[in-house]
Order: sequence, then structure tokens, then C-alpha cells
Amino acid sequence: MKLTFVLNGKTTSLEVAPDKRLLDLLREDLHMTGTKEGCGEGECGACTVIIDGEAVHSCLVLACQLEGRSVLTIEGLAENGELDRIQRNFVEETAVQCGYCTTGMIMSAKALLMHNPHPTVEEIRVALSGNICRCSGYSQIIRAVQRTAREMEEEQA
Amino acid sequence: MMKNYHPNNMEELCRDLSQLTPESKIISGGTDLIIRLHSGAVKPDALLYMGGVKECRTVEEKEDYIEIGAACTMTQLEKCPLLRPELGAIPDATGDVGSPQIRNNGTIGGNIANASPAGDTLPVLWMLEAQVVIASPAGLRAAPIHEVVLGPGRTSLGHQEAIVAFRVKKGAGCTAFVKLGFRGKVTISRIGLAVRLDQDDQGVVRSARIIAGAISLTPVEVTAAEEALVGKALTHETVAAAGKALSDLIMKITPEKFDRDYKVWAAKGVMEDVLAKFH
Repeated sequence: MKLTFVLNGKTTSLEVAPDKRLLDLLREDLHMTGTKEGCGEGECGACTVIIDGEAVHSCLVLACQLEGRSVLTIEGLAENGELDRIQRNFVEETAVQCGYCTTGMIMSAKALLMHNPHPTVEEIRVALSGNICRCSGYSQIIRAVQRTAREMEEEQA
Repeated sequence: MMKNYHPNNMEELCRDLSQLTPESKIISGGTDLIIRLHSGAVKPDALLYMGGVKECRTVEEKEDYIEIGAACTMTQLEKCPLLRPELGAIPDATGDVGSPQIRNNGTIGGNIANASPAGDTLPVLWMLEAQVVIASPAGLRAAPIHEVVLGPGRTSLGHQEAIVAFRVKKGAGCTAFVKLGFRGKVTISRIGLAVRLDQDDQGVVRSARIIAGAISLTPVEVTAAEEALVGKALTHETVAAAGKALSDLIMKITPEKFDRDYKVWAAKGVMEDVLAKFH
């Protein structure tokens, strides 16, 4: 099928099988390997992207569901070569160890802060509950999100 | 080459349904179906995507009932102001399905059509005696939920039929749902308890409807628990009696290999948790 959708702000068209997973479409057809496959079943969250403003598992979205929709991936966060604030804080707070969960964690955090710029710790935990990390114990990740929210708030003030 | 259909409204949906074969699949969020597709467990000749059918994505208040579009996502229903407080059991259930990512994508229609015994919304729609609105090339029909979901993975839907909406009567009283899983989040329902209570100003229960999911092949009514509450207020004793009734039912009907003994013991806590949401 011919698919036309908005990817990281740009209208993108390609010929693709209707049952191709968005995860595979990104990694294989578009060579955007920032999004990772951890489980392929919607349990680990490593494949998280944002569609129409909501975090979703890209292993559980097919090409036939994407027509006309807007997809944001990790590659779409940095602007003009500058890391998004969330990405920078993940680095600063040592929230990246092996790095495999990091893309998904950042996208879930991004989605959270888009809806709720002042999240409580509990709200951060719930927003990240669909993302598993085997390395870190999560505390640095949560600190990175809190720091990002704080910096955004200070910038607003 | 796999065919795909992308109807934008009910008319196009009924037209596209007429093209489906017994091998075709209907996809909404796809959070159950895509796993089976990817593993090769199902090999459809066509996919019909429900997400573009605008009539299926809204919740509307009618005179006697609320109509919930089948393609509404779990997150949409969790946040829908029309559903609280009377139909609170619906956001209670949809707000805890899978992960946030699954809730943003998965739909109530898909949850029901997938007909898992552990499906979170099944006991809720059973308790609410929901009518299921079904589209086909011939038009629309409505059927009660217990005539649509027949058993694990089995519905009475024909291969050219699609669930488009659920109708739930207003005046339900007060409803709530609690789910027990092996962990706190992103967890399969091991007991799903959906309750409606109609109480007077003193909290005395005039009528009760208690439906348990995940303890049998389809949701079951816990009649003995209802009887333990009717005519009484919710006290430590009456809540414990209702909990014991659920335990006894599980002991009787849940196969041992489906964690029966754990559920028998845990049932009392689940009953306490759900009844704590009422007066």
C-alpha cells in the first residue's frame, strides 16, 4: 500500500506492506535505528514512539494504521544538532548505562512532559511503567525526568 | 498481497465489511492482534482498520444510555468525564490495562472482540449489561454482551461483522472495578471484580450486581456475594461475607491450574478493595 504520514514534522510517503510493523518500517525501510526492539510484545517499551501526541509501542502499530497520522521518534527530538533537554539530562544524571531502554524511556518521558509539565514522582513512575530497565534501578532515570521538568518550569518563570 | 481497508465512516465500513473473507481480520489498536500476526499464528488475507471510522471514536450521551464507540482507546475512556461517577467501573478498568503505551493504542472494542478470559473490560460490560452494536453489510444490529462473547477467544460475530459501539443504560447507581494482578502495573488480570451498588442515604444496599472476571472462561455473577450485601450496610462483617462468597465460588469453579488456590485466598482482599470505593 502507499502510506503517507508525518514523520518528525515532515510529510513522508512510501510503498509498504499493510502489515509491516512501524518498528520495522522505521528501522529497515527508513534506516532510523534509534528505536529498538526489546520484546516485540508491548512489555518492555524499548520501541516507544509518539503518535499524535501519545506514547505507543511501535512494535504494536502496523503501516495500515498510520495513514495521515503524525509520528515522533527519538531522531526527531534534537533540533539543529542540539540535544533535547530530556536527552541532555539523561546523560547528565547518568540515566544511561547500556542504553538499550534509553530511547523508549526518553520518548515516554517526552510524552509525559508534553501533557503534564509538572509531574509528581508517582506520575513519572506511572508514565514510565511501560518501560523496563535492567541496568539502572530507575532512580537516575526518574531524576533525569524531574530535572527536566524543573528546568522547563524555571525557564517559564 | 494483503489487502487493506481504511473506512472513514459507518457507510464505508459496511461497504468494506462486504469484502471480508473468513481469513480477514479487523484491527483497531492491534495490541493483541499484532502479536499473533507477527508470530505467524494468524495469516489474514486482509486487514480492515477501524481507527478511521469517526462514529466509533466518540462517547455520546443519549436520553436513556451512554454510547461508547468501539474504537475509543483505553486512555480516552480513562479520561472521559461522561463516565464518572455512575459508570466509574469503565475508567477504573480501562485506566489499568497494560502500560500507558498500550492504553494509548488499544481499544475497548478490541478488548471485547479478543474475548480473553482475563480481559479487563469484560466483567465491567457484563456487570453493566451492555448492548453490543454490530455493523455488517446488512446494517446494524444490537445484542447483549453475554451473547457476543462466548468463551476464550470466541465470539458470535460473523466474518463480515464488526463491533462499532457499546450501549450502557444510565441510572446505574454507583459502579467500580478492581483488578488483581501478580504485580502492580502492566499485569494480566487474575481476578477482575466489577460491582454496581444501589444504596440509600444510610448506605444500606438496595440492590447489588457483582461480576467476577478471570476466574472462569467468561465473567460470572457472584450471586452469593450480592445476597450477602442486600438489605445491609457495608460493614466489616458484610464485606467479609461477600469476600468469602467469592472465595467459595472460585474454589468451586476455577480449575486448580489457573492459580485457584492463590485466588481463593486473594479474593477476600479484592472484595474489600472494590467495596471500599462505595459508602
